[in-house]
Amino acid sequence: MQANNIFSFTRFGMLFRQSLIHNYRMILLSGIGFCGGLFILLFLIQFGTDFRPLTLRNYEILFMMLFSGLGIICAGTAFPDFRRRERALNYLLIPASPLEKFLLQFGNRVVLFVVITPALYWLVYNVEGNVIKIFYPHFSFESQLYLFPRPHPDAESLEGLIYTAVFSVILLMLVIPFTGASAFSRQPIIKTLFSLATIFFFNLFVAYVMFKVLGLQHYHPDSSAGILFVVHGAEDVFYVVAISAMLMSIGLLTAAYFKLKEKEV
Amino acid sequence: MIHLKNVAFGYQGQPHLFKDLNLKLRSGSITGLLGKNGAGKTSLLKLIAGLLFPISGELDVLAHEPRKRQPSFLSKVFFVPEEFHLSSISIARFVKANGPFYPDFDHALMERLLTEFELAGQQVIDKLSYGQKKKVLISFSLATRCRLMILDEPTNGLDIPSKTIFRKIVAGALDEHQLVLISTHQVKDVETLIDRIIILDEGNVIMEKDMLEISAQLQFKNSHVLDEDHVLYSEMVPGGYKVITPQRNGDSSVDIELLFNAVTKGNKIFSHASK
Repeated sequence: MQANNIFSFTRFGMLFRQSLIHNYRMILLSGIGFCGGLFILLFLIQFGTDFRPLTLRNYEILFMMLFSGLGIICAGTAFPDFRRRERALNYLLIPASPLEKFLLQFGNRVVLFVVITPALYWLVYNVEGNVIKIFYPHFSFESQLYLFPRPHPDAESLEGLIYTAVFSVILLMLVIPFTGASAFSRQPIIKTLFSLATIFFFNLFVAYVMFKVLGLQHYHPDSSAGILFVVHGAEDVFYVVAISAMLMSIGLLTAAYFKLKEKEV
Repeated sequence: MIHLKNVAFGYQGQPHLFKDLNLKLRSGSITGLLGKNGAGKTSLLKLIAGLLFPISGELDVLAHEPRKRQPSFLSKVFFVPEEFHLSSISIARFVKANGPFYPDFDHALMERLLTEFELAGQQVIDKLSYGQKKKVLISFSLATRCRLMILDEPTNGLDIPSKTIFRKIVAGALDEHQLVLISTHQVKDVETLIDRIIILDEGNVIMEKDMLEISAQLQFKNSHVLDEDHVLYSEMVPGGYKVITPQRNGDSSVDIELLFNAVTKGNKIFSHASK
């Protein structure tokens, strides 16, 4: 067990088990809270629309809203032991490597969330629909299968690329608060949003200076003029979005790992 | 076991706490780390545990660089901080969750220590008092059988009988491969426990000696009158004086508080005693 100080499956298993034993109540309550809350929300929506079933579009929109909101909260509360000095001290001294601790947090807060939330959403949606149908027989409930919007028929050839871009953006959306949680001890979500807003407005300012002040909007290069990369059309846009979001996620995850590794208490 | 060479450390935006700290500690002892408030005791303990990183110098603990916090290092070190947090689970579950990380964890010893402290495995940690939680943590630290145990103010929050039990179990549960480093202000609580003393003042180790060495050189006693010729250091107390004199007629128990006051006030008691 001690020979490998970087990663050991045995130690990772022990860390996972320890996390389960320490947090099983919180995990259970969160799961029950999510399912119960969603059940009530769906009921209220259907009650407000005279028990008309959700359209596929509304089903997807509701999912995306819940997924984004809860995802930011879940990832933004990663490394919960960093919120208090005494807990951070205990956590850093657990005999597991920084990589194991990092992977456990990433797995719990990002990977498991991405896997479990759609499944729970689908399950609660179907259970709620069938339960309501018992009490209101005129409720014409239909089970929904898809969770993500289907691409427009004209863009079906780009389906793989579109899904890659969407996945990259979703990952980035979760990785940003996750990294914030590793960097900020107190109120990480608020501080992350503030930092994000600062970066956004700085970039906006730089873009304004480049385009309006330096006149870059008048520059229309020809792709044959030796320019390395020029965006032309939807396909290129999806490539740019997918690659840049993926690169940003990798960069931010690396930063989060080093924040954990170099943390002092 | 612990070797600090020219270690410098300071908190951001503050003057350096340690500029050129040197220290060597071997296994098989219970060492008391004493110092005034702000002398850097807790910071030194955290440097040794890898919770703080030195600015420069060499720090070798159990043949590891603590700042790397490698599992092979952390599984040999247990730190009981003054302020701590324990999950709101039962003691038995706490042991089940954390024990496996320590290869030499002794479940039988844990049970025995809990019994000594009048605690039971089914008790939920959250419902215990601060002192009882501390007993759980102290019991767990001893049961890990870690080679290095760092205890920061271990007797804070313990009642009088528990302090006695603490001394008994620490003395009884250790072997010659282990080192216990105790930082405390409550010197009376550990007076009969420690066998080596380190006194830290203004970022420097100003004294590092075995208790046997101290008692061989110095005598600690109470006196009604002050015999200025032989006294190395004295303090007025009700009914007379507490004095330190050169050792003349065998051993006497070391009054750590008096020794600490003498050393931190700059008295060269050891060099005078050997004259």
